[in-house]
Amino acid sequence: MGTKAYIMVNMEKKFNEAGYYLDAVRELAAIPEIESVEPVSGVCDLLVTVDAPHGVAGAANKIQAKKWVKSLRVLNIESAEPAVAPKPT
Amino acid sequence: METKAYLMIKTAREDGGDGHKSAIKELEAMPEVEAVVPVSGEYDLVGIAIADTPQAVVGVANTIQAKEWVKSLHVLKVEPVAPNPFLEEVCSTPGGETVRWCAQCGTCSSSCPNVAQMDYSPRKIIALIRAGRRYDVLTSNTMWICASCYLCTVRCPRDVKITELMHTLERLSVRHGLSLGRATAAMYRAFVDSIRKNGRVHELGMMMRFYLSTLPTGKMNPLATIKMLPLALKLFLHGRMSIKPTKIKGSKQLKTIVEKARASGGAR
Amino acid sequence: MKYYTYFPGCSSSEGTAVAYGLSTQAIASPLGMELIELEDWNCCGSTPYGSTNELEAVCVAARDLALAEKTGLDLVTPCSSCYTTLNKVNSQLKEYPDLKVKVDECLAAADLKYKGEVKVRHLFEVIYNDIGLDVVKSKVVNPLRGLRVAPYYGCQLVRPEPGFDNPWNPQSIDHLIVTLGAEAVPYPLKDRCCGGSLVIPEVDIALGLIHKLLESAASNGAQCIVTVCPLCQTNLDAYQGMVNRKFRTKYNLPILFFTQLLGLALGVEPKALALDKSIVSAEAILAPYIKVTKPAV
Repeated sequence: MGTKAYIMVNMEKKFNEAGYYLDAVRELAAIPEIESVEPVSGVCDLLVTVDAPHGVAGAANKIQAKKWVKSLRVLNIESAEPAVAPKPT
Repeated sequence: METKAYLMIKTAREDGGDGHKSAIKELEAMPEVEAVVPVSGEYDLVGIAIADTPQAVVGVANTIQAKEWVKSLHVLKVEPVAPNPFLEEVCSTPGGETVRWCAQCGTCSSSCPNVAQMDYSPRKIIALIRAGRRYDVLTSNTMWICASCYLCTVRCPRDVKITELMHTLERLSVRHGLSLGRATAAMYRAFVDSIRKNGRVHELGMMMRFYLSTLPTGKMNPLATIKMLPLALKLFLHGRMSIKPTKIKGSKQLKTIVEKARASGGAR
Repeated sequence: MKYYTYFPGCSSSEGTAVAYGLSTQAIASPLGMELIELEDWNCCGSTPYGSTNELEAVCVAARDLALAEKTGLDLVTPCSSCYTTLNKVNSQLKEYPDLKVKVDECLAAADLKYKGEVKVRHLFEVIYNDIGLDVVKSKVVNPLRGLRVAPYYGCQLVRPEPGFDNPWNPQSIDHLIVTLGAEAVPYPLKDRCCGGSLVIPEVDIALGLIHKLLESAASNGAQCIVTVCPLCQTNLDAYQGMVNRKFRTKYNLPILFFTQLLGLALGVEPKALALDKSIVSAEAILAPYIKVTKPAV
């Protein structure tokens, strides 16, 4: 069942300081697997939303390949329904 | 001003078999919390909060952080992005606001003596500025090979101050560290250093400083530098190249002015 | 006698265009001008400073304007770049009051004040308008008959400041040449760029422009080119050899400052006009106009 994932992206310091995040937003928005990009302040610099599970690997690879990306972390959004526990025998 | 934030929550307990349903219900009951989703990875829950002010968001975060089942909370505040911050940046310089008047007629490009060597013609640069393509504009060579001949400026039917725009782009490129290795930028630096030191441009000193500064970057062929020596010698033998720089008496006065200008920040 | 505050600029006072400064001084009093050098002037900043830091550049130029304002006279410069830069600063201080406030603060830190009242003028324009070509003609004692001169305006005499001469097809230098008795050769590239200071960091681009200018002058029958800008003279003169080597051409066009040509026609002692500072020698073409007094045997 399709869901979404968040990818938290950290930028290399020198790019961030040069105000590159605006160019970064545009670059990420051009990646087809990426649904939305928001520049944020906090423990990361950009918050990306992608389709899961299909879009995650593709988006993550493309993002990681960018020279201004320092690191990224993926948070898979779990479906609302809990997994059915196996019936005890 | 409406503020949106993502609240990245780590819970202090296992999900209790209900996939954090009760925790989610508790948070979504708060008026500023739009939605909460369970996630797997570094965090357990991600909440989306929207409030009228940044302070209100902080208030919500504090309230959530105080709950005994919340182990830790990281707030990601969404930064408001102006529709075209690069255009705003350009327009905030004296003369820069004229870039909005461009009709894209191309008269500037067809007047420019150096357009054939430019990454983007003057017309295209203006289009790119208005499209917010900051990195492409500030890393191009266009403004660095503008000779300031002003043909574009006098011919522009909309009175766009194109040459001044080129100077602005040079400044922005340097300010954002995107002009490394540009020979023209190095020459400008040597020129300005000479003024800051002596009050006047000492041509021999400036040229030496320039040629030496380009050698380590490898941007200028060292042989090209050596090719200049006969010319320098010719000029020197014709009495057109003074060895010693002249320092103006008011160099301290000039220094005071320059330092005050630096402390003031920018031109606008 | 007309009095002016004189702003030579770095190049014309001690740099590669020192001949311009010297020949300017030589023609001043024959034309009835007193050029009083601005005391302790600093570099105007030209294009490089403006492209580095805007506020600093304006303040640096404003120091000169503040000092000049105290003299109460018009500020006259032979250098097209200083002319454009100082005029630009004047305009910006008028059009952007916020900028003026900041500049005033910086000047005040050095006990200087600038109200904005200095008129910045190009030496050529002053001679053309204040002295007038009729007066010049009346003072010509050595008409340069038969000398074919290409009038080279460069970029920054007629652009971007409107008002003096036609920016599309200027004629003022042509008129001066005729006034001096010489022939003004038609010169289609008369107001096109020599590359300016780009000749240092982007020498190949500049050589291409200089080549075109020399070619246009030569193919229209010019024996020499007359200029009103120190950078133009240096580029066309000192780099002519490099153009010849790169493009396999054989240009041998002397590049003269208008003050040198003017001085010759006015009968000023040739030594005072620093003609020997040119790399491409003008000796051959000017020989008919220079009366050499041989010592009696």
